[in-house]
Amino acid sequence: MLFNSFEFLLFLPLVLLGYHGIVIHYGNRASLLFLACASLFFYGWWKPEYLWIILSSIVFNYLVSLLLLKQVASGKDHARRLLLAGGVAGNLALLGFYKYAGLMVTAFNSLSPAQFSVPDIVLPLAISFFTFQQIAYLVDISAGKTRGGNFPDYLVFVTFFPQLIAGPIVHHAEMMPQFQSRNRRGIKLEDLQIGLSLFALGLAKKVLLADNLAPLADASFALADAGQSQGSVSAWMGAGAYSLQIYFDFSGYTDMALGLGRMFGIRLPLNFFSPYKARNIIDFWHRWHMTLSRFLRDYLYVPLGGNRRGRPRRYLNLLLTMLLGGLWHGAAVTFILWGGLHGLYLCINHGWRWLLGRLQLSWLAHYRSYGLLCGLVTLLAVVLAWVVFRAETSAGAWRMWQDMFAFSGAEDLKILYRQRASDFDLLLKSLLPVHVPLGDIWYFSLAQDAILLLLGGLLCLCLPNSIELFRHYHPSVSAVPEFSGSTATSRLAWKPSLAWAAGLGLLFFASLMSLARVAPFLYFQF
Amino acid sequence: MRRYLTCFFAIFLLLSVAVLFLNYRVDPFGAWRTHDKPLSVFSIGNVSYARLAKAHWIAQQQSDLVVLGNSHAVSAFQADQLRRHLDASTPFNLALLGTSLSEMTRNMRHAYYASGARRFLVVVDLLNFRDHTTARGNEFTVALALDDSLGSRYFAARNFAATTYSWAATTRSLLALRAGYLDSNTAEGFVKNCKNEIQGGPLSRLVSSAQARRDMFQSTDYLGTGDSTAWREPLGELMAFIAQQQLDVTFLVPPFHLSYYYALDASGAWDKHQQMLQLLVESIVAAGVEQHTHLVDFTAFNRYTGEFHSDPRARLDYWLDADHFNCAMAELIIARTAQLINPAGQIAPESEARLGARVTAANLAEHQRRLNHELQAWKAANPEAHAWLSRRIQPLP
Repeated sequence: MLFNSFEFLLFLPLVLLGYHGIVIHYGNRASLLFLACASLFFYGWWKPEYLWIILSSIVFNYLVSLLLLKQVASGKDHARRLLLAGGVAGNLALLGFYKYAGLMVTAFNSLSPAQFSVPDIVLPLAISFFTFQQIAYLVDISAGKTRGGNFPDYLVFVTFFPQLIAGPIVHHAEMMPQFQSRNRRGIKLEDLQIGLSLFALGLAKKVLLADNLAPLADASFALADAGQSQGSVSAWMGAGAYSLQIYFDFSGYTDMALGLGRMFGIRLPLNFFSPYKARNIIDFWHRWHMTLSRFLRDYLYVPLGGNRRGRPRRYLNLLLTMLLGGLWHGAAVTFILWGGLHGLYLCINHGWRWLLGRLQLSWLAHYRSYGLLCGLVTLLAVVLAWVVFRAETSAGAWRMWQDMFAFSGAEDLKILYRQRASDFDLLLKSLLPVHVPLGDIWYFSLAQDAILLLLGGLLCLCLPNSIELFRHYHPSVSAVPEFSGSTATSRLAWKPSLAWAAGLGLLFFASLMSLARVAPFLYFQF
Repeated sequence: MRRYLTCFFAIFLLLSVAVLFLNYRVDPFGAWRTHDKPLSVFSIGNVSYARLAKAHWIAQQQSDLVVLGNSHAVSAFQADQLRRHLDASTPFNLALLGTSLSEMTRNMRHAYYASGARRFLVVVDLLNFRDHTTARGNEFTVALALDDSLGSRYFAARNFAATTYSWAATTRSLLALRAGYLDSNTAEGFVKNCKNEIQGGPLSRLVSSAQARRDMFQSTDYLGTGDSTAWREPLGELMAFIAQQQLDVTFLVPPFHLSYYYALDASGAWDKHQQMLQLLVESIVAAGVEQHTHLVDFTAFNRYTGEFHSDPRARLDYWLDADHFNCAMAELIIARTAQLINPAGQIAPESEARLGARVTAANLAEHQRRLNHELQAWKAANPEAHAWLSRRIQPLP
């Protein structure tokens, strides 16, 4: 089930009511069981036949965790390590089969004379997320960072629907205390209004911004993937549109997840914090998909040796981590290239820092203009990397890059806008005092896209993010990063006023009107 | 706290009721059937809603002739043409934009079971059916088809929610209100104006200059990716249903503007076009439905497909754009089809303009030989245009 669907808008109040009633009448344990069942219903809505995969994975990991706990208690280090390795391998095997079997067979076929048919496997929803979450759980159990719990608790930890499909990737230690400390008063009004407001804000980001930017990005990348030239203006608009689409898509999803969790009184970890305001790539990865970065750092980069084995090894570790991070997003060459590109960016960033230190130029960082320049370069690097991420093929990405740097004019823009007359165009056309032929109304689409690009840029670069807006109400279990404290941010901060209620109610309704067009979140595919 | 939530939901509910009232009153997609003349013309531009409204609407009535197909059939065929030329008393145009063969088969089943239709006019776009991709919005018709189970009721409810609470519906309702649609005196004129706008308004010129030609062939999805492998299975299912129910079906291969055929040839897709035609004939034969299934191919190089105006603002007599004919051409097509498929099963003599030919397994080779000959003749007569296109068009994979 999608958060941005009519079904979910029916599902949510029913689950909230059910949860509230069960907490009051039957206590916390029953309510958690109800929440787990509701979450499995939510998951199974897409393909009920895939429920057995997530349930098998949960049972497998729970059993391994019980055995691990025994080994930890008895101090048998070797057995514990073997068991952990087996548990992690089991998880990776499941993920590998469903996500990478096709890629592996294709790669094998290209290298060997023997040809195998490429399996046509449908990727189970959220498999990357719940697999990583459970790997982290096993590692934490093995390291003694968490004590485990009973099966219903574990079930709700993995399946809690606000974070099940696309994260945040949560730790057992940060979630279970919250689940277990529920009191018998049920859902609090304060949690409900904060959660609802965050949800409305996230939904608006998704359906009003991301989904409306998608057609421009799709059209532009379709041209590039078909090998067609489209001119620099089109290519930059397409790349910009996708950069903003994925930003608002993921940011919207994260807000909705935080909001939904909060409605149940659960605070999820931070996952997104104005990444396009980052001053460098290291900073970017502290702001974009923060829980994935945390996972990659704690369970891959650090075990590989991190920065403890000298600079060359550190760069190699960074590259490996980001390549695998890219591969996590999907079994395609473009994702690997994207990961590699970000690995390279991180190496350059660390190298640059080292060089500045050696040249005793670290003071540059105190200059605002230097910071702005760094931010601009970072944004440019991120947008260029998104091109590889979004393109269907590496050839398509190359075509796009070529067009972006061909510095040609805007005369080919019309190619992008053929047959893209929207309802909005027709309305505008009917309102204009002069006659505009149907063949010319693509100018409206162009104007609409230009406005969306500008608005999107303004929102993500100049305005406070949702976490900053709600910071006085502790929207997340994580500590909010350093608050800018600017007057504008303070003035805009959310408060339970009628003005905010009316504004968000309006936004929520505007979002409802866009639900007819079903557009899954981009991160659902990963 | 309570005031905040009350205000939030009050605004939300107020707007919800207002939009429900507006869209129910105007009913821009004919989904509620609050008017005798739903603004079906609007549904041309909206794939999902047309699917919902049409599939729902046909289930409310008996239809003796149903048109299936994609954009060609959507934008041109009118019910009155079918009444006049094909003796249909309750015809229905169930064609949908961007359809696939699989979806068309489902719609044929839907029309058969829900509306009792036994005659079908199937407009087969040989290279542009979306069987190689997942056609968006297909779920809209699946939901309404065939049975009355809880599942289909759920989808119907969901789709009505989508039809009512959407920007598309609301914008169209506002447009209709602005044009005074609810005033019955102006309703007829309003629909007519919309049709004129869409079907006969000033169009970009087609082949009057190199610039115009360049624009035409740069559309990203201009040349379809017809794939006989992807076609074979859904085509087999379609034929199996026709055979099983003994349906009376006429397949029409629609005409395109001559420039489209040039583009096919220049990009190497002309042979593919011909292969698909062959596959269609073979499927008819393999299913054993020749007795009650006809195939009329309107692929041609004649004065209709070669219509040309030097004035870029001129309206074309037969075309909306290079691959979509208008109502005037549809009139000729229907009339010619009726002429070719007479009740006695005789093949009528072809007209001077060679507009449409009935194709069977027996005359397929001859038909294709003639088309190839005509193509070469047109190329020879217009070498400059063909050379320009050859340079311009990317070969299909």
